[in-house]
Amino acid sequence: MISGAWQSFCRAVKAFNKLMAYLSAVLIVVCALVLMYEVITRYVISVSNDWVIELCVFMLIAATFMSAAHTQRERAHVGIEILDEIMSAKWTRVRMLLGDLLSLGFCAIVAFLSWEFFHEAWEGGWDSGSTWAPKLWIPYLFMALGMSLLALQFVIQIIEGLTAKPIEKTAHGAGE
Amino acid sequence: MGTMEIGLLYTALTLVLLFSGMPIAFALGSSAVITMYFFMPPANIDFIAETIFGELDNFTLLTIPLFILMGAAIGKTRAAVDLYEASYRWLYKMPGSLGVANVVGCTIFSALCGSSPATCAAIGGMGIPEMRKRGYTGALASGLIAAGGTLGILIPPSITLIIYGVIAEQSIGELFIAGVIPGLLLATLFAVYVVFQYVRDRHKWMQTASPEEIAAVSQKETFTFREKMEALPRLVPFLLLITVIMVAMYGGFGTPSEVAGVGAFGAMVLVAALYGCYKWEDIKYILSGAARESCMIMMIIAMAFLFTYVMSYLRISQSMAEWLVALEMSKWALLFWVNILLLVLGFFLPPVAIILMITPVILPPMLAAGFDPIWFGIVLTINMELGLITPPVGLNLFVINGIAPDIKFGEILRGILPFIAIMVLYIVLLAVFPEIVLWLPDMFYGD
Repeated sequence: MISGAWQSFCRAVKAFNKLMAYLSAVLIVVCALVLMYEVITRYVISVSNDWVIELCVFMLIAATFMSAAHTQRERAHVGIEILDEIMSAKWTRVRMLLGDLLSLGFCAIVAFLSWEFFHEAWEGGWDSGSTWAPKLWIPYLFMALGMSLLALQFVIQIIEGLTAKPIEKTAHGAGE
Repeated sequence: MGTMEIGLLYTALTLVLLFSGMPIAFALGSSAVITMYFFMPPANIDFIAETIFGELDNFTLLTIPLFILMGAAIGKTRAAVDLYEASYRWLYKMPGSLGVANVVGCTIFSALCGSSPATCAAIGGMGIPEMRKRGYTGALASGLIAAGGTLGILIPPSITLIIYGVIAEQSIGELFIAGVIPGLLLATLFAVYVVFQYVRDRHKWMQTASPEEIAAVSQKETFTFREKMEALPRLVPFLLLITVIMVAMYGGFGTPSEVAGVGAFGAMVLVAALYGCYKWEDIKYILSGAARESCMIMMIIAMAFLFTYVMSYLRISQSMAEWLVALEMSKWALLFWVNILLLVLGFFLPPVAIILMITPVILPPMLAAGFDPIWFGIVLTINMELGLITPPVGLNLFVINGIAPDIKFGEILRGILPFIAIMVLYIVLLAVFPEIVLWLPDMFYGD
């Protein structure tokens, strides 16, 4: 019963994170369109938009954090795998588990501090201080939410690692 | 504890965490938080979220996801194969033309798609079997694809150069311009070597092969002028896209981020118009690839900033830099050791992590020794290219091993060695003649 509920929970989290990853990519596309718009308005009607820079940077921050959990699910946050080749499968599993635990600790700390940061910005009604003056709790919210989802993903991964028998060896994609 | 001891401890902790196999981003972050806890006032921990946010709140960083989006869009198409086939039609008369066409294809495609392994997979998947059919050895065919794939991080638009520009506070436009000539020259050196080696291999092979075999390989394709012209519509738009990006960037028509935005938009229009990539399946593929790659790199950047914040707060980077300066090494000895360090790090770490971690330490001594920061950015990038083709984690080698399983890994390694030698000699050449790098940026930006 519990295991059934847990599995549906994991599936729901996975689906939600996948959706967030797609939306993050859509934000990057929107960024490209907004910047296109800025260039066109500047050259065609000589109007510069003061909100473009901040909006784009906030979208970038949201996209980075909101896709982090799905990226972790796909094990696409690259790491050095040289020890995988040297150590036995059993020790690699222990090492991976410790690594996941430490990552969880780190992400949980950053998530907690981000929520505090969000809370302060919300309470204090902070804005960015520019002429457009967007509320700062908005990007902080995405950062806090993204890091929390990432921490949750590590919890799921650790539990899966402890309960699953076969050792999952997935290919990592790496940058450049 | 003195700064030096803390610095060594910090380095050791980071190395242990990195080699534990944890994702690089979280290894750097954890190492920073643990060090903060023990050696910095508690208030710093409370400000972790602000520190990360503050560093990401940077308009220039926006270029990275945008160029990744551009690369993901172009990577989805069969542009890679078209690029090399089109170059082949124009080059077919020269000896080793197929190999050279592959180098040209790698150069253009890797510049646009920004990913070395993706270039190797896309061009090598078609190019390697084709070259082997025409009598190229497995070593040469795989070596030239692995090496050709690395050119993209030097030829603009280059994410590696953007990251260096952000951390070293150099103009992205100037770095991009500086990458053009060294990138093209390196591609030319690769091509020259390919012709030389092809002719040599062929000569050796002719002495042992049977007449039938020779006849089969000697059947040369020919292309009419019309066929050459027909190939252009597939080649020109992509060359144009790179040119527009470069011109817009140093013509001052927009900030690097705006240019990247226009580039990403242009690439999406191009792949939709030329390759019909507008179906939901294609778009989904492009979006998920872009989100994954961009998140991975941006997370490393965010956490590397936290890592260097700790280094700088504890004055570790400054002390290490001062220590390096105080050694009073000769200019060339310094350059030698810096290159060795970069090479060793490149064996294990991706360029983004190396550049962010190491630049604050080695750039000040390099500047003190009289090296130019733009020039150093280019040399650093060539070192990063080497890391992609040197074992144990040279990513390109494994990609080639995956797409051409009939070529033994030892043969791939033998094939890549001459290219590694060319790149090392090339760094020496750039050190002796820094004008190769600086001539073009000086012309456009002045001194």
